[in-house]
Amino acid sequence: MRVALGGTRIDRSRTIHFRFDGRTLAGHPGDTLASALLANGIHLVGRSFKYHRPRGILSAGAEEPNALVTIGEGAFAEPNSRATMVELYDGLVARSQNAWPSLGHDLGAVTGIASRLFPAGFYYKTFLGSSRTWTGLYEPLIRRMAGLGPAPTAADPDAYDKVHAHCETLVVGGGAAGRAAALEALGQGRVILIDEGVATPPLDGVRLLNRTTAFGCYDDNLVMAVERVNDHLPPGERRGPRQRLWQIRAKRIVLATGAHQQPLVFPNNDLPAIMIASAGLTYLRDFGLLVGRRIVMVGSSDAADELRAAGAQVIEVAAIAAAHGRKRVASVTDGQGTRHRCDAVLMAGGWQPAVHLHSQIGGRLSFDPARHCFVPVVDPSRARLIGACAGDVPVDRPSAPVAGPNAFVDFQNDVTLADIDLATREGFVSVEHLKRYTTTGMATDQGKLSNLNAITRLAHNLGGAPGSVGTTTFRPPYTPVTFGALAAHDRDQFIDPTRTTPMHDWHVGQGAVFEDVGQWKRPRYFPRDGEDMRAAVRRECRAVRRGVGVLDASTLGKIDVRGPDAASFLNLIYANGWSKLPVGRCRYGVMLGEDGMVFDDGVSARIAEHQFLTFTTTGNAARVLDHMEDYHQTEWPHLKVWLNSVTEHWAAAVVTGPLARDVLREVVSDVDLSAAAFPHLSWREGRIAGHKVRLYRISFTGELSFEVHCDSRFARPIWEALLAAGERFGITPYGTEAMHVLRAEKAYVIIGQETDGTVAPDDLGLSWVVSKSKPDFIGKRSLARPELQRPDRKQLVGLTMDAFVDEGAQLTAGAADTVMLGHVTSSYPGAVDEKPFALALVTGGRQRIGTSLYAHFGGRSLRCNVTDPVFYDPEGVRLHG
Amino acid sequence: MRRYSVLALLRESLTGHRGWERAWEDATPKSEYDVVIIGGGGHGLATAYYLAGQHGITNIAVLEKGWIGGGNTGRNTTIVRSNYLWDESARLYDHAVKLWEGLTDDLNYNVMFSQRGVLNLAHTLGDVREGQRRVNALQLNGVDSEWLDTAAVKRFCPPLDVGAHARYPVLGGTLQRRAGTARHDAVAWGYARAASARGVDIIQNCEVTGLVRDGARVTAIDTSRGRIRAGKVGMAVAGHSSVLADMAGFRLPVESHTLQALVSEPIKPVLDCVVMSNAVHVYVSQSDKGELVIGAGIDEYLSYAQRGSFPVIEHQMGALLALFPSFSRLRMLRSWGGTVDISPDASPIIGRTPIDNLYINCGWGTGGFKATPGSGHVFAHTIARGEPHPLAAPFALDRFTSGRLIDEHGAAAVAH
Amino acid sequence: MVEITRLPDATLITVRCSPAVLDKADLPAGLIFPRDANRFATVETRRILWAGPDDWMIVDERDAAPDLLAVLEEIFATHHVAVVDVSGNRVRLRVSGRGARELMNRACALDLEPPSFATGHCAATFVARTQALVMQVDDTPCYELLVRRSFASYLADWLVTAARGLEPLTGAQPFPG
Repeated sequence: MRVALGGTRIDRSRTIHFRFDGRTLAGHPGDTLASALLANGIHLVGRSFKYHRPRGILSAGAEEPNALVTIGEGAFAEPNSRATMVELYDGLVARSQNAWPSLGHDLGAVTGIASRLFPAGFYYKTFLGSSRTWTGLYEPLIRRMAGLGPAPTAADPDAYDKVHAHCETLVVGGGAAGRAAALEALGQGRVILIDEGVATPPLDGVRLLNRTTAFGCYDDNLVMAVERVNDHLPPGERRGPRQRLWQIRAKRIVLATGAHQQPLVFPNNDLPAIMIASAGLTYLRDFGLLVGRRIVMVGSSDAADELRAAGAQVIEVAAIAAAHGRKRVASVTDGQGTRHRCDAVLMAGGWQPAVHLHSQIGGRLSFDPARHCFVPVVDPSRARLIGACAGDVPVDRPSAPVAGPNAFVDFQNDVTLADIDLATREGFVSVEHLKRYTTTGMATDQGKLSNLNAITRLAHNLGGAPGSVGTTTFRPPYTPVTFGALAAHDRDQFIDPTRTTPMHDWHVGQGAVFEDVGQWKRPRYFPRDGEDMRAAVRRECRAVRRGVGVLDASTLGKIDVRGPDAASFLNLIYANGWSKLPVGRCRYGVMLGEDGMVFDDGVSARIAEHQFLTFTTTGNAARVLDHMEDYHQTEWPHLKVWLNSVTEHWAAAVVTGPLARDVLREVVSDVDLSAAAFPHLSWREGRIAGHKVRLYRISFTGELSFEVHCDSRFARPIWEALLAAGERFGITPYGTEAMHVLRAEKAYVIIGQETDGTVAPDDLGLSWVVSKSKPDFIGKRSLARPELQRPDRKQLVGLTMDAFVDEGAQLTAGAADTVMLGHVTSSYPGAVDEKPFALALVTGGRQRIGTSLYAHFGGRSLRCNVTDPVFYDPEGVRLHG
Repeated sequence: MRRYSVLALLRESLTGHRGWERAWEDATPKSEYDVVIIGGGGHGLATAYYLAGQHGITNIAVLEKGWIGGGNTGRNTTIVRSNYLWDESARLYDHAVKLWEGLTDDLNYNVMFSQRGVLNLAHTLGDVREGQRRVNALQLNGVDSEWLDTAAVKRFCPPLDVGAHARYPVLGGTLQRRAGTARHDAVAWGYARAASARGVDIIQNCEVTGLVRDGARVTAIDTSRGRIRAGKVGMAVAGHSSVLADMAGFRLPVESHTLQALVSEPIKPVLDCVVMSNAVHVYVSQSDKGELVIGAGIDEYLSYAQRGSFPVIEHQMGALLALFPSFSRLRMLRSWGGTVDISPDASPIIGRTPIDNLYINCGWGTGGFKATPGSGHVFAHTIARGEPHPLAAPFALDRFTSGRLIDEHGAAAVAH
Repeated sequence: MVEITRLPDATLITVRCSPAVLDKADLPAGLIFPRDANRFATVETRRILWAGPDDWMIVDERDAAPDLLAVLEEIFATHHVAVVDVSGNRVRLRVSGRGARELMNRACALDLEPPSFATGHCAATFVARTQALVMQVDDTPCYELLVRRSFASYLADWLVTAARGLEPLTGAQPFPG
């Protein structure tokens, strides 16, 4: 109840109201939910995870294991919030968790009554049987009983922020030691001081982050922290981000994170109103309240006098043998056997320095027997620790744990002394095994008030010292961090960049349907007048085969390779040769990995004696440049060649079809476009709409084809000039779907579709690309390996059939066979006649041409005829036009 | 070994649980064994169990440098599945799944194999193609697999966001219903208990410091607890495989990286299956304690530190919330890391080494936990017979010379 | 109020060469290649950025590409130098106004406080999830970003969205000195 003394954090002149489990209660600004509940005499705030025992508030800080409530309602609901850290505001709504139908009368308490049946690890010894029985019968029951708070179902209405900060000194902990260190560091540059509380006053010249928890320390002095920007305000008053993630890189780190006073272990030490002694004092000093009228203080503490001055009766005992009560402690039996009535107990256990941040990046600990705690080992190369967290805590051995029923070590996970003894008995004697077997230290408080007692008991059982048992690994986060804060700005549309070409807006205006190709948005097809995809693609394909189509190919990777050794370099990178390619000509190239498998393909053009422009696939552009740089820097640094990405400098439009030349004649100047002057696989420079362009005769459709490349800055006017020029020829924009169909009829492979990292050049019928005379190139050695010489390798073939087959269909010899010979890589309706056709990789495929196979997909099978993979214009007459 | 059962639990509950025995004996190393298994994780312990149980070899020691199951067995995200593309992989991993199905009974230890289904999502046309390719192959290989369209994905996993507004909308997915999760620690302890009961010496806190060779054979193992002579040696140490191979004097084509994972605070049931996505890179399930168990890709640099960098966690979170926006207000409780050994084709390396009596089982990379019983089973056969088990044969070390790789980068479902 | 603006496209030229070549080459005044890492030099409408140990980026607001390219090719004709027109490669964004550094601190992990980063400094780094060349062009501070053209929409959207949540940061007093 509230008393006249203390209350430095509250404003007694104002009263605010809040609801807890439907009851409206009053508090003051500055209260936490825990202090307000205590001020109203409420100690029972939850039920424990396993046994559903009544639980009260144990502490006054972030280390709280018991007082977990759900704050807020609907989409704003936040389960598992520690009442000791929730700042009270007018209108706050809170609900207890893990109890039904009510906190006072919880049916789950049945498990508590039967607690003997549920010691640590009981589930490993029972629920035996088949996995079906576990999955179907036992598990659903257990799952329903597990979990603390309910999961929210609505989308999170809040936004989160993330910011990077740098400083010369980062101080974690705004108590006296931390503040002194911050001031001291001012002379050495920027100082940031972080404190998880609300009340730290500002310091001149120091950047102070209040309500901020440094939750993780990472290598190279990176500290992650989360700031609660808005959680303390009523929903109606919140502006801006709810929480802010801080990523801080510091030259030096000073840790002043304090220490946590530990509970004592004795039967029924988990009853509501049995609390940590320092918390009892905090509630008086900060919040002006007494946790009880008749308090038993066990262990030495200076708090007794202050509590008496505030009006409490305080009975000091050296040890407690057991506590008694039902939903609140009513009496204790002391070490002498005397019973004392009381309405609260304050346990003065020892202090464990908060060494988490030091330990997370490998800082070492040693055990201090005089203080009975783990203290950090000083290491000048690591963060400096000062104050209590460095081990500067009272020299005081806490009273020994008392065995008996319901003597709790981990309050939240219901782990008792008996559980630890059981674990020892069963051989789980490594501290990590103890933790995993009993689950001690694995609750949301991560053992802040339980690890030390657990280790102490284990050491006692093994006849050794806690120092020889050691601690479990400290891992971030120090206290739980909201997922939304961790994702911050990079969520929803921003989980990955969206890449668009210079013509993107034009495509959108045309109603294009887009496809994700890596990070790019590429038009898949351009439906007109309510067309579905099939109709649009039919129209687009026919336009290319019979008239002229235009495709935005800007996404293609483009690498400028130049220098005296440019050709030598490309000779090493590609399977084919480049030295003899004349200036002005282009050549199709295939790039292999060291394992001899096809990695990427594309055309490269010789721009000058010592300059090439290499085209890569859209998806591999960055990978190919990295690959080239990797080899240049590590294998062949002696080669004089420069590699520069020009992927985005050049926008590209493919103008293709029998009328392609006619369209370009309308709009291109300075180039003789005739077949004789401008043969297939060559390039020329000219102008369109006043801008320089480079035209390449490269065909991916099998038709007469010109790729028009221009400086991206002028892509839009050039694109529109092409469309305007092509209008009277019926120029038809087409997308990736039509592109796929058209190239498939020519058996032009698509990396990642006809290849999957296991396909070699000869498999694709591309052995003509692989140089027989080059002394070395990436993949050459692997091509000589036995596996790549086998005649029954999978080879690219065509398939025809009566109905469509799915891509990914698996192929067998007979309809009832299960031995797979290959799979369908591409499957489409023919560009002009719409008859189904496909490409496939089949074991010994070329030998099987003329025979039939069965395609299995979607649970059915279909007979297919194996054919040559080129379905259209095998002589290449049209593209040489 | 005293059998576990509900009756045993009831009986013990009446006497304060004082009658439970050690789960496995804390053995003192002998000076010689017929077989020494280096590595006391799930794979190593399973190997010892099958050697003792199926091959009649009981003069075995398992050497573990720390506490058993303290490596990747205790650090994974507990997913069990066999939806791999190539015949060799599908057979090996499904062999494991079949063993998982009876493992609780075999070991008399509840490993909590929950066949709740694993959903692999498709977000691009390429994903759809590859997903269907895999479903068709699995079906022909007799492994359960189905293709679900977007609506069916949503029905199977209601909290998933499959809307078209997403950065990478869900276009469908593959489902393996027999797949799911298992309790990782229980697997190590269950195998240890059963192996120990069959006479296997499980020796913890015993670090291998050298391998003593006599020509083409290993004759003894130097450890922090003395020298131990061995007739045959099997190595199952995952991330430290190349360290041990170096001691033995041969090379392994593996790289060791940190793989991180994290859990949320426990909440009431909200996710009843396992969801994995390559494109939106994250995989998630909910444990029986109520925690969401979340993982994603490796840290790119080489490391044995078992802790990783923070940006990897941030990227996972964005991906998780893209799939499950309602999880945004839940909290990360704990993150950790393990050391995974990645092979060039993302497939394991099982079988003989250049040293006659030294056998290797490694290279499982990010996907070793699911294979635990199968891996131990075939490795035991390989060691006992001196020849690879037929299911293990395709995964021999020499495939990196012959070129007969088994490329499972897609199925590994973890960014490399 | 922080402002995110798209600047007009400029001529962009990448010059790749070893620093030793710059000593030997006959450079006219007005073509100053910074030799210190992460610095840029401004002469009238032209900036030259040190983008790497063998990598310089020229940003020229005049539409002078053919002339400048030809001039550079002439200067470096006998050396192993690559002079590459990359004008279309990048889009120029300006982040200016009150809160410009606060916004950049959300997008970029670099230490943007003087003396680590000041007017005349540049860096190739990640901004949000894309690579960009970042320059501080005046003391306000005002930043110019050169971002790959296909990523520009994404980055602009990202910055605008992040700017919406811009609140005065906790304890944002100026640092001493």
